[in-house]
Amino acid sequence: MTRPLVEAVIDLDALAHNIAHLKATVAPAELMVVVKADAYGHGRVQTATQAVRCGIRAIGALDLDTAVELREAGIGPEVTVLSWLYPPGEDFGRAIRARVDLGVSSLAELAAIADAARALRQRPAFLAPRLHLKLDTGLHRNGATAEVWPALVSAAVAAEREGLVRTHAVWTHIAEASEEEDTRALERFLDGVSVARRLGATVNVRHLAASSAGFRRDDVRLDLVRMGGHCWGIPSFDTTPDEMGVIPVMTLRAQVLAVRQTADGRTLGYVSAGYGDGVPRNVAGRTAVAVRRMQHPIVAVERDHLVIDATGSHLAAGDDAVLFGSGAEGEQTVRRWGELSGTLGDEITTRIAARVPRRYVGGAQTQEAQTR
Amino acid sequence: MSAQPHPPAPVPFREITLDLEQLEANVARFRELTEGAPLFVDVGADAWGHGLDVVVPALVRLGAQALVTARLDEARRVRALAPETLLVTTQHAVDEDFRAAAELGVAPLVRTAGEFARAVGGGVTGVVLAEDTGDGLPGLAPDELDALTAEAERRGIAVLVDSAFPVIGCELLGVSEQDLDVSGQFPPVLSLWAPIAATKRVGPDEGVSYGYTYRTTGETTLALVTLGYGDGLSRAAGNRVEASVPLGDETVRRTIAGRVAMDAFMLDLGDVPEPLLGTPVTVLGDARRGEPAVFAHARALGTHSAEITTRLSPRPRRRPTEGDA
Repeated sequence: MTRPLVEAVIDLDALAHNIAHLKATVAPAELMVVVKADAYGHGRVQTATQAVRCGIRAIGALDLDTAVELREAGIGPEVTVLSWLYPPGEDFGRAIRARVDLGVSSLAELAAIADAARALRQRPAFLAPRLHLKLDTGLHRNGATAEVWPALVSAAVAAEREGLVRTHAVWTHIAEASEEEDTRALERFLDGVSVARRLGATVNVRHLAASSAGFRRDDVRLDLVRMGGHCWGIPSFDTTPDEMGVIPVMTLRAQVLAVRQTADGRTLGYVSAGYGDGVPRNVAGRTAVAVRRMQHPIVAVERDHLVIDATGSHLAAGDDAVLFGSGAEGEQTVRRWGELSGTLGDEITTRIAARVPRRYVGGAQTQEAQTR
Repeated sequence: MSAQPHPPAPVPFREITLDLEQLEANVARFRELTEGAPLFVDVGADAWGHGLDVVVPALVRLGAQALVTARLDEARRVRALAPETLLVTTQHAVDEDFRAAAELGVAPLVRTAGEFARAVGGGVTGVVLAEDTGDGLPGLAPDELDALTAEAERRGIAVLVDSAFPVIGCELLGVSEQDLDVSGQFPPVLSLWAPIAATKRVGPDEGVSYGYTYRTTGETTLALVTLGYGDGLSRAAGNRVEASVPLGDETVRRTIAGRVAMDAFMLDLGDVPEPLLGTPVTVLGDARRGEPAVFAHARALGTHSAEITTRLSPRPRRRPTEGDA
């Protein structure tokens, strides 16, 4: 078996390191690890399982397909799995059966959840689903506006009195447009929590912050902080993984396929990863590939390969090429790739194509520590 | 936030529809333009993001004589969908032993004498020889071509030079690797759409989505659409590319408002009544139906249309349709 032409190596030990560091940073608030969009390309089941091994008791899944899949993969009810985005007409019965916590943004969603609970409540194993009522504090995506909020809370409390749901948490997403905007969002949020309690809702958990604000600001952490990018070692603000104490989890590796001397005296190397693998075309002229610990600028990105300038360097077909990773082999980090190409590292890992095989390394010791 | 009821039937979260009638028309157009040339199609990178599972069986039905992918792992998927068709792979590791190629009945494209020898050693029954063009990935020099052709014939291995093996790529699907609008000859096969999952009324000067890169200008209706960069849309598409949405009797176009997030983007619909949840919003579609075209989308992002479709993720489900269904 020859090695793959391109692969994304996922270092579960680096993930464990990041989770330990982030847990300690946000404590006493709890850390929720967010594995939406296939864990930003890292593989949702493998990373969520590793997170649970590392002591994580809250996983953010985004949608019910992901949430139910995680339950089926063996993540038990002692771990909160939260879903919050639904297509119209969503079937909430499967969520209730799988004990998925449900984010609720609207009266329509609440009504659909209550209907599903009513249909299941006579079953012996029925447990009323826990709700995370969502307030819009300015981002204007989902979440109830301040005007609708009292009606949403009251409807949830009424459904709770019927035994159909359990009020449990209040949450929001913030815009991260500026510190001042986020502070205003926090104030609106705490007002919303007060309103919810006054209307009879139980609020065990208040959560507002994601990676960026949650890492930097202790006033926004409240009871729980949701993090995706930082768990994968991708800083979401202006810093490096080293500086913030995290290790990039994904390394994208390929091979030098061939080398050509051009008529104008340059040496070009052809590397087996292209935009069909998720390498954005616009990294050409901006980022580099490490071969033999030296960075070589990318000059073009084709569907199945990219071209690097290897003038003055001694490359051979078959050499390992590292596109991005932890920096251990002289490569750039994905955070740096994002910066140089005008986006977030999160987008780059998320869009690494499904045709790129993921190879998981590490994780064994963590598992051992858990069983001892 | 709207209190209107959800529509009763389940609505998909995000969907790519593939118009197989259009694909058939494009194949017919190809045959017309080439005066009946054999149909050799590059279906690499998951059929340019369209999805092998739908595209390959359709091409087999339409009489494709050969299918091309870059790597053997993708050829394995194609073989499962096209048991009888000639398959060619174009990219192999320098230590590839070609036993998998032989087992799958793949004819590899080889670029060096060493690769040829390994392919023969692995037991392949056909090869395509890549001729060096002086540019791009290196290939075989003319004297090597002659020698390897003779060698293959001596061993009873079917052999072709790549210049005698003209392959059509993504144009057949209505996209291009050039900055070129091919939709006149080859209309797009793919549509990308998602339902409106939430609506809300807001006043003027409200920031929308992360970073508040968009602000409302008056009383307006915002709609949340469940497509984001986790589906392969570009994060940079916010405030740059258009989506279309049926409102009342007409289909209106709106530029995506604010940043595209991982799982959703927003539209500022203007001061209109809140549309029903589940109303479809199209990001890539057919200009003839008033929908945004992939070419304009790509151009707004400074790339070509093939990258736009190829980078769509598996998260939107693929659904074959016939015509406007």
